[in-house]
Amino acid sequence: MGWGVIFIKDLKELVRNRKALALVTVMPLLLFSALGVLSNYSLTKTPTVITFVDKDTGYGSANYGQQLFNNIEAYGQSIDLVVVNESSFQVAKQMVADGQAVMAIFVPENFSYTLNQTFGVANLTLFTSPGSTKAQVVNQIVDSALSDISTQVTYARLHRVYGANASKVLNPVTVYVEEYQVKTPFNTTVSTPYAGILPALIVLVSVETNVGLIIDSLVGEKERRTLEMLLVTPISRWGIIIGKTLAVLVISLVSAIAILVGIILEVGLTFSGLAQSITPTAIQIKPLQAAALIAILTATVVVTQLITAALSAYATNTKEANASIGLVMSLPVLSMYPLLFSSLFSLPHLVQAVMYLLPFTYSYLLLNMALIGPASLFDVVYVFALAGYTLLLLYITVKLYGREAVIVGTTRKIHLRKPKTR
Amino acid sequence: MDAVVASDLRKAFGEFTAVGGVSFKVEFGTAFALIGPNGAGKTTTLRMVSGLIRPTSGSIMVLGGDPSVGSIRSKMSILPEDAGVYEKLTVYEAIYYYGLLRGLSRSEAELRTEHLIKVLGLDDKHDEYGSKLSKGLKRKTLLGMCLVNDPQLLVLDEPTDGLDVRSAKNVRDMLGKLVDEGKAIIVTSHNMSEIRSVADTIAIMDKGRIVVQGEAEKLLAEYGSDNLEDLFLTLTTSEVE
Repeated sequence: MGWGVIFIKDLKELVRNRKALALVTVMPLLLFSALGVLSNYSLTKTPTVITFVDKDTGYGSANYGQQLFNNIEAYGQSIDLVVVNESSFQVAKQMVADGQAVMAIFVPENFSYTLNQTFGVANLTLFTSPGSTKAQVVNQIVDSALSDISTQVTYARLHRVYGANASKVLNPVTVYVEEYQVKTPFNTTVSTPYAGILPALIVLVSVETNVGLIIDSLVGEKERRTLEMLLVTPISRWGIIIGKTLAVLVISLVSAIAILVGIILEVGLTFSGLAQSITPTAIQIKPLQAAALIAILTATVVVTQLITAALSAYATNTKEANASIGLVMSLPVLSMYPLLFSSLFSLPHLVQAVMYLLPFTYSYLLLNMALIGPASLFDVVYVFALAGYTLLLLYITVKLYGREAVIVGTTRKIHLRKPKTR
Repeated sequence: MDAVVASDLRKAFGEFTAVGGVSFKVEFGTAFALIGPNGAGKTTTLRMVSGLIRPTSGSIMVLGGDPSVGSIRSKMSILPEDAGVYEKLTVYEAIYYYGLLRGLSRSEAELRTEHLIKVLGLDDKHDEYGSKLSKGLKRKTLLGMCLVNDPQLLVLDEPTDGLDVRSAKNVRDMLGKLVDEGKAIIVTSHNMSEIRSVADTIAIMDKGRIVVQGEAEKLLAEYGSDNLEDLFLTLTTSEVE
């Protein structure tokens, strides 16, 4: 089959293009590793602040509020954790809202008293800004600090009473988490290091590193003047474009795997050196997540390539075609920027309409689903939207490469005087 | 059956008329030369013959059919002027893949490729990448890519451009053999002695029209010219900008 020959020929050429191959594989690894190292530096070498409002009056010799404070400080030793005492919970919460602290903790007056009652259930209020790496680590620290107290209290209670109420004895603390909700379209309350800007960054890196491949493949044929020879073979335009797109798809797949390895490295490096007890639990990417991520990134890159192919169809050489890269690169930014701060459905209708027109919106939404979850029926629609875009762009590219002006490189000129006629 | 029958071919790009009504026939076992100054409309005519662009009016029959149809294209080849080679493919791969693209089986493509590499004197460049080849070697590789499917019609735009004297002669000899085998060739060149040695019939184009066409000897006699160059200069104007 003709497209198969084009696919093999182009794949061979792309694989032998060492510079391009290095760009799509090594760059994501380097970029995400550097990001991991910087995140780790930010986490361990710059102060992380918790505001602590301790109203606990103690009970007898016990003061669990103070003990919680001490435990948090002890667990926070592997990062630069600063626990600040505050008298007003309102002020403490404001500090979180202002970004001066990542968490505010409120310990009520009767905290120790309640814990000393055999069946008492004490309340503790946490006010946190989810999503940031620091917040995730702080959550783990507080969990570990509380866990120690819970174990201690449970041990004391079990010595006092046995019987039907054992479950209450074993679960003495109910934590009410009040979250400072950053408006995002996704379930960011899940403790995961993949929330926030990382999905946007992944899409941008995949687009950026792969955008030039199709230019070399398609416009390169024009520049070398091999396109005419190719078009005079019995292979149809569809066969040529599909063969070339599939060759680029294979490289995109390799690039997607490199990006996956890159983000695993990024997360690994970010939390390196931290005690296991304070490392967020949801940092491992499951096989299904990895497969979805690779599929979404590959589809995104193919869409990118086809947009580039269509935009650069009239270019006669790669230099001219490279001018379209800037425009292609701006499209994912247009898609993602509003979604970083607001839910898609809460945007003004006009902005929503523009967002729906951009294929990268679907990439970003699907990537969030794959990394953060949960999946919904909308994701099926997004998959179809991305597939539809791919077919539409394929059709447009094939039609463009059927145009004489594209084949022979003639462009419309603006005539200041009446042109010569024969 | 004639290999090519062009009747009153016209091609306009917007308001600019590149070819203004040309008619010619090319028989099997003959070589037809299109000559003319730059911008005379030769390349546009060749593109219409190869089905790359459609005429604005007039008709073109190639090998008994429409040149844009796959079954006709598998029996013809085009070598555009200034065509380049694939920089990341070896000489062997470039010729072999074009064999496959033109419908040959793998084994046929392998045999034809090896044969052409020998005939074109590319033996020692078998595994050389396109980026490492000199201009002449690139042209030879391109000729291999054109000849790999043993085409019945060859459309060659400046086939010996960039070749050294010996290689150019080899190519001319090869074209002669192909004509002897019954193939049809359309060729353009600025080299008048080459045209004289290769072509049976010539057509001189100027400003999008064929000024005169016929057998070279008869035309020279008719216009009282000593050589093709004088005839060319008599019948054509200066280059079109």
